[in-house]
Amino acid sequence: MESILEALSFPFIQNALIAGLLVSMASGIIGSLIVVNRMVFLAGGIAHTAYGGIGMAVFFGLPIFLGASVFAVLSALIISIITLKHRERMDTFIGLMWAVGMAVGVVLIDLTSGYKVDFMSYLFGSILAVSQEDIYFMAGLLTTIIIIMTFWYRDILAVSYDSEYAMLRGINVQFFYTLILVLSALTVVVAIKVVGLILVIALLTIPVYIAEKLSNTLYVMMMLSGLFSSIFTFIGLGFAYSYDIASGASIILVSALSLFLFLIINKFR
Amino acid sequence: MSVVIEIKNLSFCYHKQKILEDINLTVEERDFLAIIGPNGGGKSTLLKLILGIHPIKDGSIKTFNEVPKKNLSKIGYVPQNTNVNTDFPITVIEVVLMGHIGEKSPLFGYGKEEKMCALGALARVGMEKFAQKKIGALSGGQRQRVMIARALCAHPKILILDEPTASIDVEGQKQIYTLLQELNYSITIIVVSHDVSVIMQYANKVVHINKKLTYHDTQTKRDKTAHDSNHFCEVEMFTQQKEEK
Repeated sequence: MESILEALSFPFIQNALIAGLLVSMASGIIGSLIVVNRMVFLAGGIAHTAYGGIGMAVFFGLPIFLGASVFAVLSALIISIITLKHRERMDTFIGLMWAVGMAVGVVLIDLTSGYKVDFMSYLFGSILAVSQEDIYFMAGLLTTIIIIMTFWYRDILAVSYDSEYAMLRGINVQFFYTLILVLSALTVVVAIKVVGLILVIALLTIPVYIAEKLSNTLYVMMMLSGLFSSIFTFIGLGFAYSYDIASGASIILVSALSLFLFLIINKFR
Repeated sequence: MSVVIEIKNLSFCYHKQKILEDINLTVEERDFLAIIGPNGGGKSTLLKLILGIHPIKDGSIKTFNEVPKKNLSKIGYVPQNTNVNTDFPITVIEVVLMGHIGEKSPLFGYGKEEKMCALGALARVGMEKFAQKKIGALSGGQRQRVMIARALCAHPKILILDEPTASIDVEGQKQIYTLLQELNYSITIIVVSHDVSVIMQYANKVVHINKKLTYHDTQTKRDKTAHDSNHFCEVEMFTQQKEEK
């Protein structure tokens, strides 16, 4: 216990906790949207395409967040256009982008002379290395998401629940669909920092799955997801610090274990 | 009575395949129109044309003497599949409130008047007690009534329902049709349906669509076939139709 208290006095731990909280809130809201819109595979595609952006940023010496964000948002826009035209071929296109994005990233990082980036840190996250700028970026994104959700809640709810009806009532369904995808892309990018590329889908789905079972409305689901996500992140970080293990994997295992317990309790309720 | 929908010489192709050919149809105020016909016969396509989802190239559709897109707010629509997305975390009242979107709305959330209106619509379909329930917790028939309430929210002059009783048990089907009959006192109703036997008891106009449109004179048919029971047999009807040809 004392060691945890001592740990809390380190600035990098404080940054990690703030980042964990911000990303949990964002992924709780956006993860809920991804799950109710059945876009999990899409989010996976965007996450892996973002790796191409990381490679590009390293190659050209740009900020990593910027490169990853640009790539992720571009892939979100491409997915949105494809869905409009060839919905039935969606999974093929996403699989393609998924693989090509990763390949571009790997090649560009290989080509960057003298720079051996910590490959693992992007695959499994590096929340303990969060900088002050990262936190500003995360806080900005969370604020944007909350503002958008507050003002467009009913439209986004209608589009997610019954897009055909929303269209008939004169809502620009394509706009909101694209908006959800772009916000997902940006959230995926910040979540990569916390749990890494491989595990980002788990952070966006496990807390959301538990929350869905407990909520009657979408906004309750979003808040509960954010809450669960924060709790899992903090407990995971505690384990990571105490046993000196990878934080991303630790957070996901805590989440998965909680889900498992939840399912058992739910069964015998 | 005034004409609410007028379709003239309408033809429609999709991917170079002719779906509808030379359709002429007039719907008057407070009609209860049933559209029957085989799967892929063009029933849903016709609805989508009336709702202005597909552009019209050949012929014309006028709703309230204007192009369909101008009068979308006067038409309430109840879509076909109400059994999809039942896991969605949304309450009954929120589904009904969806009927208000596209109108002027408060900066965020729902207005007091909108909520009152939604509760009123729920009361009209006898579902006000379920307002705070999760939509997935309802039965198929109850869910369908909620969808009707959602359409009523916008105070439509015409209510269009696509297969409202598919995958609903017999008791639920009867309730839906009785409800539609009540609503028909003030609203024009158009129903696409497979349940020919049921729909014949309620509709005052029946059209059969299989690429082309054929009118059915319901009154004489009802007299001819429903002599000693209320049941109306589809087979009899179609054989009659053949004989007439």
